Amino acid sequence: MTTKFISFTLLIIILLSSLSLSANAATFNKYNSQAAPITAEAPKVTIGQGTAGNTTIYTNNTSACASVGTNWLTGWTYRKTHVITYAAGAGTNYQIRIKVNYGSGLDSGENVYLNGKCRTDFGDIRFTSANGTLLNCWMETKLDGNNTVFWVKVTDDLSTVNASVYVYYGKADAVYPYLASARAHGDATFLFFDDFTVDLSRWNRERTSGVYPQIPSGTDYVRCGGGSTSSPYGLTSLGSSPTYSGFLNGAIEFRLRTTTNALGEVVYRGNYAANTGYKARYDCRTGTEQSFMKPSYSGWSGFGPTVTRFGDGTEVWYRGTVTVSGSAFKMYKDGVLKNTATDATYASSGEIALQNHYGSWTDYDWVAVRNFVGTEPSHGAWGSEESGQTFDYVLQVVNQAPYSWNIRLKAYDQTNIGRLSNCTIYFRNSTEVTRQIYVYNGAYNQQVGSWYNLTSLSTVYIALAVATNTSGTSYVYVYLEVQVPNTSTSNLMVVTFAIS
Amino acid sequence: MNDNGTKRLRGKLTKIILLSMAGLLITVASASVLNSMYMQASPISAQTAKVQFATAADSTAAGATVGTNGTYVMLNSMSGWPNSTRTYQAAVGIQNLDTSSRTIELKFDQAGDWSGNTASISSITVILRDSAGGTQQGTTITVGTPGSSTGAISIPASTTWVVEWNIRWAATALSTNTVAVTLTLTVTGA
Repeated sequence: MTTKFISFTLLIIILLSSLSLSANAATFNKYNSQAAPITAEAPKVTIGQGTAGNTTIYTNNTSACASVGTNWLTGWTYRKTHVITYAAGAGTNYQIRIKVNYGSGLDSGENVYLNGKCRTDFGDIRFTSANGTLLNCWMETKLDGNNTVFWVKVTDDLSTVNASVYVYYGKADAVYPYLASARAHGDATFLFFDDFTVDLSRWNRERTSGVYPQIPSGTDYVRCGGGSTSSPYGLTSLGSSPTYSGFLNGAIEFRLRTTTNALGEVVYRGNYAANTGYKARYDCRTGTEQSFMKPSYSGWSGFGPTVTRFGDGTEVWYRGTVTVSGSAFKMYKDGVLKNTATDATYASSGEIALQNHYGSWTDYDWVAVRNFVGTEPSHGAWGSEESGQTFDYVLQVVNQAPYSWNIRLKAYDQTNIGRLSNCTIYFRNSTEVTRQIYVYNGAYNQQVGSWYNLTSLSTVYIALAVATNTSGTSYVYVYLEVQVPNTSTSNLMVVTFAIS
Repeated sequence: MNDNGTKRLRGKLTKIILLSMAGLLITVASASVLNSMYMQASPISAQTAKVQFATAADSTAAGATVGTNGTYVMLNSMSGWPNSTRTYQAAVGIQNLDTSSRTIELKFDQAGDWSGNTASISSITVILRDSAGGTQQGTTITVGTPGSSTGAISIPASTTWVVEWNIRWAATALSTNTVAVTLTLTVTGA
């Protein structure tokens, strides 16, 4: 019993002792890790200014902010650029004809082919100037899924330098007209325009025959009717004097159809009260005549060359054009030159007028007055299809050292990138491009690039290609990572891209 | 031994204990009475450190020299470019050579543990990871903040972790600027 008691007492003491030791265990080993010196050295790889956009390079060339203002038409997927070659005297706001083809082909002259990437009804065709300003245009014709003809008002001065325009396409929900009406497009594009979809308030019915001229109920053309092959021949004249009497030089574009023996006539530099001005006649009779005549409204006689009459009396729509440049006049039918004449009798500006007599009627579907110089601006080169605006030389990355570095871009933050339908940031040198960051439909498709070997004392450029679907400004915050080859030692430089 | 004998023995033991306690009290209360006792530590052996510094992928770039026995390391060629963050993902390794896990803590202990042109430093952070660029272990150490440490963390047996240094000089830093930093690695247990 005594032995047991002693053993128990000793056990308690040992347990208490061990508990006490555990509670106060304090065995440590301390090592030192010393870093000395840690030095600040001149950067061996620097960021420099490019030539595109606005860039700010910060002290020591180790960080930068690059702002690019895209002129991409918001929401559109594709575009092609087109050069309009200047012509002396063309000035600003010159109307250029462009034929847009739905299918594939070789872009040339006025023809551009969109490879099936636009709407079949061409509702998504838009034109902009080089700086991104939307240009006014009017669709003259269209054949769904085939082609359409636009007149585009080029705002740049085409007198001495070429201008570039962009044709945009690829937007499923876009429509034409995108202004209030097709008539509004015509008004915005031409010096004078009417498609007779509303009324004749822009006109003065100067000579009438019965109810004519009039817009037949339920139609969108004007009929200069009431003509007769017997005296007094039913002359009708619809003059633009209430809204437009400033025609001196220019081109009158129109669409007409004429019935048997009709004499469709287009007056220019006209003054009905004074009976001055000229007229160009689309005569549907057989035989020959001088198709230019003066004065416009009564007692006229022909001048210029006598030609075979070229009016079409089959009541089928066709195109007419009369160009006036100083004393030089030309008449076209469906784009084919039919007669040329010169005369200097009436040198003052006046109205235009649409007329008919002799035959029963001439209908005019629309009429437009545009700028014109004797030698017109012409169509230059077409660019290849673009799916985003490209800024080739935004920043440069320069290796100041006589040895290589590996570099790459890594996006670490962003603001408002949802509007970026397509944004690619990449390295480019003289021979290749290396994609680093890719935003597609507002989300990262690639956030980190692969390593690019920046060889000794070499330079590589940072480039961007951007397409947006809404206006605004997006920010992509990026590290330019500069790595010592074959190590995990690197330098991070902050580069901010502001894309508006 | 009968009950009477047992009682006597208990009585004696009680007396002995009481006398001993009284003696102890007298000894404590009487400063002039000294008892010399000896604590003998022998042998105190030098043993191989169970946790050691070791070179890692960026040790050459960082100028890392691991001292004999792996209980000290000097990094003498780390640098950085102004307004840019220099990262040494694996400046040095910390390896546990033991067959069981060990508790370690890497720490910037006090303000005096760094010196030089500290005003030109935007930041220096040190991160312990399980591999270069791998999973962080513990908390980020902010150099210049006394007591900033990884916290006490357990490194598994036979494992090597790496120490990542991130150095960012201010944009105004001059190429003549330098700083020196000391971190303490504490390994718990013998």
